[in-house]
Amino acid sequence: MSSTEQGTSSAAPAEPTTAPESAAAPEVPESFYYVHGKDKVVHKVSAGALQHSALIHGMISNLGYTEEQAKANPFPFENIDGDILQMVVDWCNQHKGKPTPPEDTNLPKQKEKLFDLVLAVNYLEIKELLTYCCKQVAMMVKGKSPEEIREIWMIPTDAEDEAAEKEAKKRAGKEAAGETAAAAGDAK
Amino acid sequence: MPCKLPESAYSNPETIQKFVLYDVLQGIPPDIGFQRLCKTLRQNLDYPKYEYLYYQFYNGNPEPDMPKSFSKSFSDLPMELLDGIVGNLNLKQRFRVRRVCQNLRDVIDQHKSRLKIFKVSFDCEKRWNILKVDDLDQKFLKKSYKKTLKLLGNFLKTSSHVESFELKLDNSEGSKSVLNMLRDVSMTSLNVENAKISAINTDEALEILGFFEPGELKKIELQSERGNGNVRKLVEMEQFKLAESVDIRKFRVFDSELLEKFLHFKRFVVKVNSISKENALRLKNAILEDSGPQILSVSLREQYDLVEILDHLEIDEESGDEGFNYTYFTQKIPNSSEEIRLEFHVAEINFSRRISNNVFISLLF
Repeated sequence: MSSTEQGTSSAAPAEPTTAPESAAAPEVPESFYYVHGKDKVVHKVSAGALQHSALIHGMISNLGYTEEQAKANPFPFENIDGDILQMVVDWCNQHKGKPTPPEDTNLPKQKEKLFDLVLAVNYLEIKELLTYCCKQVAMMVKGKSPEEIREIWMIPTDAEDEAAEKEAKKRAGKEAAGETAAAAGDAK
Repeated sequence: MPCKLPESAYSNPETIQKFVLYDVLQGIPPDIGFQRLCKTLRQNLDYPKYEYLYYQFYNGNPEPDMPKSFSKSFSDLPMELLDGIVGNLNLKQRFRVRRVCQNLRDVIDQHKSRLKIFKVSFDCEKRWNILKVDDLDQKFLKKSYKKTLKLLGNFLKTSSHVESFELKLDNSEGSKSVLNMLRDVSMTSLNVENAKISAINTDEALEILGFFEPGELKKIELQSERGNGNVRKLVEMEQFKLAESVDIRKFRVFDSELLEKFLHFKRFVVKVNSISKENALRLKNAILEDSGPQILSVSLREQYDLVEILDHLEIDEESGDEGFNYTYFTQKIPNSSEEIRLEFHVAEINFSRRISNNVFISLLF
């Protein structure tokens, strides 16, 4: 299992000599968690950065993992492509503890990537990033005709849709019939 | 206890759909439900198919067909996401997106939007009718309004709030259709903030006013070409009682006894037959009662006795006159930074409360 070890710089313990306000209370070391997507590449992310995701925040809030336990139990997100999870992790790190700006121009411009990102962000419940994503998806069709919108948003026509549905129904019916026949065979 | 049913009895597509429905009903997140189901069935199911079914049930479709395809189509995104995307589109763009496919049409028709402007104007003297809803600005022919009205009805039905609602109705068929459309969409009250209604049939104007949520409606402006509006009916309406500003100067000229029904407003503009010194004093006292800016404007059909009113209001010092147009008086309100100002025009008296000129100047410097 490989690890990209995201955000390790902020994990380094503070040097006592570099701490200007020695009288201040010692900083609580930040805890880190690990996540991986479909590609199994593990990303190390601080709890602060993960707070953006309501889903992960809910998962880790009562865990109290030690560093070793967290490393041994990365959160699996099999439904998210590795590069998309990387984007999400990067965004969470960049916006850790910061107020989110009104605009975010770093979202992917390619529609397939944006589509996957929207689904991932929705699943991980990252509200601010989802707002940007929805805005970006809307911006894609600004000033475009219905035909262009159909192409940009990769939408089949209603007729195509119906034909595909009929086809799928037929296929599902055949599959079901096949399985019933197999079951009957098993029973014999 | 191990299940004695053969595996084929619970792993066919129909049964799997029921398992997914169970996960939705139990509020189990799709990823966890998927993992559990794979484990239980000892099968590697297809996650996109599971997730598709999950969101079909979640979004209220009780009988989803198995997915047609898993192409990356934005129209297949969950409804709440599509709603978020649609919320970023202006009205013109929504019209275009609406024409793309049935799914997006449904999303747009159900999207709760906030409209800034909703204006429909039927004018018998003009060839065109005017329609303006936010950035959508159209002129349409007298006879070709039906399709537009249906869309307008949808927009109104799904709008959570309308900032400015402006309607001008004549006696045409189109106007009647607008009224019918409003009757249809106002099964639940419309959240309108400012309403300006001009109608030949003033009962219709009041009926339309009744469609708006009382308390939400802050500003009312009514006009009638014939000046025959029913003010007695208006003042009994909840929408009127809970509003902050009303302008019915062009709705009807009425007797000043009814002015007492207007004293709670921050601003009103009315026309009365005449004003007695007692009613003038009531207006002055109403201004003194509430703090904050107020403007009460009373137009008069008949002439008034300036000296008698001034005497009754206990104002004896003239502050100035604006040329030959009007005379005005200001009086400092005790224990306040505000003053009362009275303007006497030829056929109009204005009472207002505002920050005192001296205080205003000191604020400026």
